[in-house]
Amino acid sequence: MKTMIAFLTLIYVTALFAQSSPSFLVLERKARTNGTFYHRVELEDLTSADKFEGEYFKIVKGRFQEAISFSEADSEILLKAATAYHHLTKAKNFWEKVMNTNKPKELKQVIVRLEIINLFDEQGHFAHENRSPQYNNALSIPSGETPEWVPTERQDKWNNEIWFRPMKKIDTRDLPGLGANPLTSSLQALEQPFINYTMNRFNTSLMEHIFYPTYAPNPLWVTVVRFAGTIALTKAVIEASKHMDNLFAEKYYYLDTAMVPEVMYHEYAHLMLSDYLTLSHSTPVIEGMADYFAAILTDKRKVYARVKGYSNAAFKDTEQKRNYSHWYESSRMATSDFVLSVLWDVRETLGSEVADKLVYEMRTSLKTGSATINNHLLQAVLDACDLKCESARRDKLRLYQTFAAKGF
Amino acid sequence: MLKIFLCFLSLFYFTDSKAVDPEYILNNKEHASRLLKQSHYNKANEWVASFGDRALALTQAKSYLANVLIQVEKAEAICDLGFVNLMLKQGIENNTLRDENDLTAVLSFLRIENQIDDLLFENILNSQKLQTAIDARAGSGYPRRPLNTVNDNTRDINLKTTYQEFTTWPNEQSRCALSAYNRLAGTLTWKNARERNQLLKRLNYLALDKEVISLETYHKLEVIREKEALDWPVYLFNYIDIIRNAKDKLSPTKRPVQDPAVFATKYADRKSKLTHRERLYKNFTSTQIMILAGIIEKTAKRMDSRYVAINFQYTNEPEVSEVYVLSPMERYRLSLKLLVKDMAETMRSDIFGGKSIEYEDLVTAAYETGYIKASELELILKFEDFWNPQTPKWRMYANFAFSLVGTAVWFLPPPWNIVGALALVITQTKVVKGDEPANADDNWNVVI
Repeated sequence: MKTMIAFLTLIYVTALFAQSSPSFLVLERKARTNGTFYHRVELEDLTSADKFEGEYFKIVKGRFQEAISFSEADSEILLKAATAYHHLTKAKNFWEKVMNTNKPKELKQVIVRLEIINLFDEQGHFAHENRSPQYNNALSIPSGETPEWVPTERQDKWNNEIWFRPMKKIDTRDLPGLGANPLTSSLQALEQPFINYTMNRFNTSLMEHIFYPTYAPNPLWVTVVRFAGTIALTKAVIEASKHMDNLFAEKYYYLDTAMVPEVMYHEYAHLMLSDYLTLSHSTPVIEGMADYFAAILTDKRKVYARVKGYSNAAFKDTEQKRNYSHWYESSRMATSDFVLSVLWDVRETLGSEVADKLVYEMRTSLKTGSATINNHLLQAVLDACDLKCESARRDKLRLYQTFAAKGF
Repeated sequence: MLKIFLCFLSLFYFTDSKAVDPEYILNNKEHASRLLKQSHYNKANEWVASFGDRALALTQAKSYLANVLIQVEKAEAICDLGFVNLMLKQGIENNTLRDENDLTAVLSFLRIENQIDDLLFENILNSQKLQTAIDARAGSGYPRRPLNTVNDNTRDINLKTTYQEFTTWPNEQSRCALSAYNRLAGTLTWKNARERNQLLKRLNYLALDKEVISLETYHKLEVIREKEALDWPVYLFNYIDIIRNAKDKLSPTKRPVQDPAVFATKYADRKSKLTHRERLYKNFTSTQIMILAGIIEKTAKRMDSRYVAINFQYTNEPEVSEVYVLSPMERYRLSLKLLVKDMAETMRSDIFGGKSIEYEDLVTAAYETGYIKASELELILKFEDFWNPQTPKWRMYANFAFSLVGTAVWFLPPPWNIVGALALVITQTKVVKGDEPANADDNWNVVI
């Protein structure tokens, strides 16, 4: 009896002092909608008792090497660090358990930098802060080291990293290449036909005034004023529509990438694909493939949807219906959702179980620098189908029909 | 002991290339039977009940069929009526059939158990009905002269030449009655089946009248004419030829695999009431079927090729050439265009003698030879949309409605005519044009 009481007391005391995983407030997407909420979660795989450092991720601020502490005074940084760690862990678990790859272990610890504005320098790691500071973006960088000729004190070696830029509110009027708003574009398209029609009517009226003046319903000057007024009104309406941009776009654009879960999934996917698709630059194919895995993890049609207070960037639509156009091959369209929609159509054709493995397998026949959508992406899908599809011949026929429906 | 010996014997015969392997007779293509009725099930069950055990009945029926097929090989010719007589004789001898009426029951049972398909089932039933009718007509008297026997169609026909094969009735061993009758009909011309039947009725009488054929032969020919034996979808000779030389010969395992498809028993042509399989067996020989399947095979190989390029050799710069490598979808479309070209060339070839080929015949042939599976059929059938796009009925009606409404809008008083026109454009864009399939010609990044 006494032994039993002593034993139970020992267990109780041990339990009191046992290390429990700390829990932190993180941002999460709601299950059924694109909205977000905050809740406390326990972070997994932590190797430090007081810092955001774990077996797979170390969350740091800017260029520092030390992980952010649990007692960080800035609550925003604390929230971002916890959110980043939580979602990257979720991504890591997906790749390990669902995609069945050992890559997360092979990657070793990934440094995750928050609030970093430096450009990436392939030879120096960080470009100077004054050189084109970066905002509203995220980046995955490959492992590397400075060349031998760099002075010893500036020698650096780094593993794979994910960089999250700080948010900066930019006036949408300062954003390049947006063009006219849809109302102005539509009115401009109608402008010339309408003016031509008006001019024709005016010419007809003028002929009436000249040859049949007694039959003209109004004096000539009334006719001139009416038609000139119609044209002037048309021009005025078009000009006024140019000032209605705020009906179609918000005043400011901002994106805090560390607070958008899909961005984290996207960046981690880049690392998973990096054994074949090197992280040298952004192309439609490589971005579309990373978007695909982000879409799987978020399990919603709209990917990168707004996060109140942190992001008002446009979402990407997995079911986007636009057909292929050669413009999608341009690197300027790297952030478009076209490739995502193509891969999602493949998923709907083959089923998620086959398609997810297939899209991952595709990376082995693609090169970052040269892969085009029309040629290399489609060929990679077909080649991967030979390996991953249940019935390769039948499923490839279905894929051909899927691609034909997409306008290829 | 006898059964063991027969099994050994069948093994010896079926390794022969001329042998008809019962495994190929099995139904592995038809999803369900179009022909089985409740009466067939009743008769089959009644016959099975006489054995007491269904498994035993099945063994007996299979063995009976195998034995008949062995006998077929010994004959010089494969005759429909001869085959039925053989089945009846063998069946009664080895106690499979209690009497002639049991043949339908056994055939029904074999069909229910998928030991035979609808094509063979229909052929044997038709042959049995024909033979029964011939036997019933035996001994009938001299017929009445048909009206208008001698007319422009019959006057100039040489009866002796036309009926030379019926001076003595074919023995169903070396000469087949139905084949001879088909050849006879092949020498005549007619516009439709009704005209053909009338012509043959008059000619049969004239042949009897001129003593070219006997009364007995006349009655037999009349039964064949009345039973419309010329319109049977499948004759035994064709069927056996295709089973031997085409069916499942392109399947990866080289053996029949259970792969039934609804397509096989769907009507190819509602007017002629022929299913896709029936049409294939009726219109093509085994060689032709293998050629048709080969077109699909070639198309599949082209689609699967890794590298297809167009090579420009400049006239004035022979050392320079331009190579354009086709993308996957260009290879796909090129393969489909070449499929159409292959179809055209095949139709023109001597083997086909100008016979028209439908795309569905190619698909049916590829399926029958085992080159494509049931799960691929619907996808491969859609290839035809590429060169022969079908406008859905709803779109045709919608286009018609929109064109009517579009004209009517002109007569509306302004400004309602403009409002009406705008509404029409928006509705048409959403409802009709919004659903239009993508057009590869809009893709500037491809050449095909």
